[in-house]
Amino acid sequence: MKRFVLMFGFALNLALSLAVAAPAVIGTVTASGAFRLNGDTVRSNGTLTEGAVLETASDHSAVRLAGGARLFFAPDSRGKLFRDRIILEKGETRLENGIGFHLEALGLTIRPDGEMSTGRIGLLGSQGVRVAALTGSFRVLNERGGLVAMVAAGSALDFEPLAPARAAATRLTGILTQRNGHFLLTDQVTHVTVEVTGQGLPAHVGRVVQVNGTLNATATPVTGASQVIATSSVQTAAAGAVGTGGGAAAAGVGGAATGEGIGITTLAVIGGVAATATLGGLAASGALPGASQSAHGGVPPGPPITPPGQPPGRPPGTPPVTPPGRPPGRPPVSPPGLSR
Amino acid sequence: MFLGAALMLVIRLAVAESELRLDPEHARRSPYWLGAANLARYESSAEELRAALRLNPRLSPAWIQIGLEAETDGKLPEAEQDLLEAASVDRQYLPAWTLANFYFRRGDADKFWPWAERTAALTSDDYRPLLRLADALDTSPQRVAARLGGGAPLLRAYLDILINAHRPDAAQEIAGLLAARHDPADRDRLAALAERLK
Repeated sequence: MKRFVLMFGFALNLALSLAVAAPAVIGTVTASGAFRLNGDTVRSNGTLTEGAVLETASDHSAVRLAGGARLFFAPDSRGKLFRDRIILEKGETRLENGIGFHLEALGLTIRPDGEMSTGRIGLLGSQGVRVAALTGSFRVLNERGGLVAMVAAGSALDFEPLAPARAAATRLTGILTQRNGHFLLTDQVTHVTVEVTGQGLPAHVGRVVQVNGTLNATATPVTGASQVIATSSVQTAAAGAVGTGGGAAAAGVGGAATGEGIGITTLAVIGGVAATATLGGLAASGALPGASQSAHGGVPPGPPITPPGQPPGRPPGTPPVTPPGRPPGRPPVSPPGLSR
Repeated sequence: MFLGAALMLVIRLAVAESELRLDPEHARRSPYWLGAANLARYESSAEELRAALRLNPRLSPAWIQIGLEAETDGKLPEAEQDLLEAASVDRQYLPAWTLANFYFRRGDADKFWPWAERTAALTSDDYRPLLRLADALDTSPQRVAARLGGGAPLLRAYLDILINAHRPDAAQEIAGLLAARHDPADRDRLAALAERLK
């Protein structure tokens, strides 16, 4: 509650500032060194306005947005920031406290499922996106807003949007269940529950099956399912094949993704997106481009390029000319005069 | 525990400051300096930073860090005081730049300009981040340029911003100021602008 009040206060203060400041201020950015903001080189900290493009070089940057979301850019990352979202264009970022906030990358939308959701999202080359949920879970949606995956805490998935021609192709693996005459399957990789229609399904109820088919966009799924899949084939999956990076995926049905960053084996295809469980789970997600090995989840602080207090391009100057400052609680100093 | 961490921070910063005084160039590469500056910016909690500031109130990066944190938490008077404290112990670029940004975010033009002027006076290369803030708070490019000192590098940066923003009228105003300086270095820049305005 206290956190909410504080965030509300921050948002309100920024909103009030908009009444007189022309551009829409959405937050602040701080860094241990230099970063680029809208193409300009900035040291230490800066002000974010709607649509600001933030790019890191060798340092990390921390973003605080008015809505409460916090982002931690890894080195060599770039994103376009808005009040309610970021479009990740390069590298990796960590997202915290992102309720009401989402991330977009390669046409996918990654949305925190709750206030406690903390995750790392990074681009894998030019075709893939990795989502690692540290705490809480994240929803991954495709371009049409369809649910592609629920990334649970402690897990990581790689995603690769497929060509539009294959947008309806589906391959999911999980236990087939029956409820009120409807067949349901929760995919073991994406954790998405779908309703399955087709021939021969009763014989597979209670078994782990791999379902291949296409999305029936016109059908309304039964409660508890996000979409309806018309099956073209149903196979009983080999024991232990699911979620191991091999086995069922090796069947190659539905079109395996072979692009950069996504493994050769694809465990699930849904909503025009291939999803692969990251081998080794969260621990393996540290291999994201630009990710550093640290307890901060790949976006730890780094040493600054120059000592603090230096303007861009200036050599370290002389120590402050003023005597030692006051302890906390003292009245502020006056701003500098207008004349120099 | 906070006191221990704070003491460590102070020691590291003290070593770094000594190195800076003795050999500034070497200090830039010093692991003490890098680590200390880093500690004051990221890894330390607000409690640790405040404890460190009680031991050494001259840690301007720490004042800036807790000031920005306070702003995020909506504690604006506290944030302002912390940032002003940073400026009182450190008359260099960073506290002035931070305060200019703080007042910009608040929409407080009266307090923004003095710090923007100081920032401009301490900037040696890239004026564009400051100019973007200043330009957003004043509709007159000539007035912005005058308030920020009106030096040639600043005018050149401003001209580039206005041209890229497709604001030819404003660009012409600044071009006029630049042309009045009769600096041969600006001939090509001004000629290119004239060509675009044809």
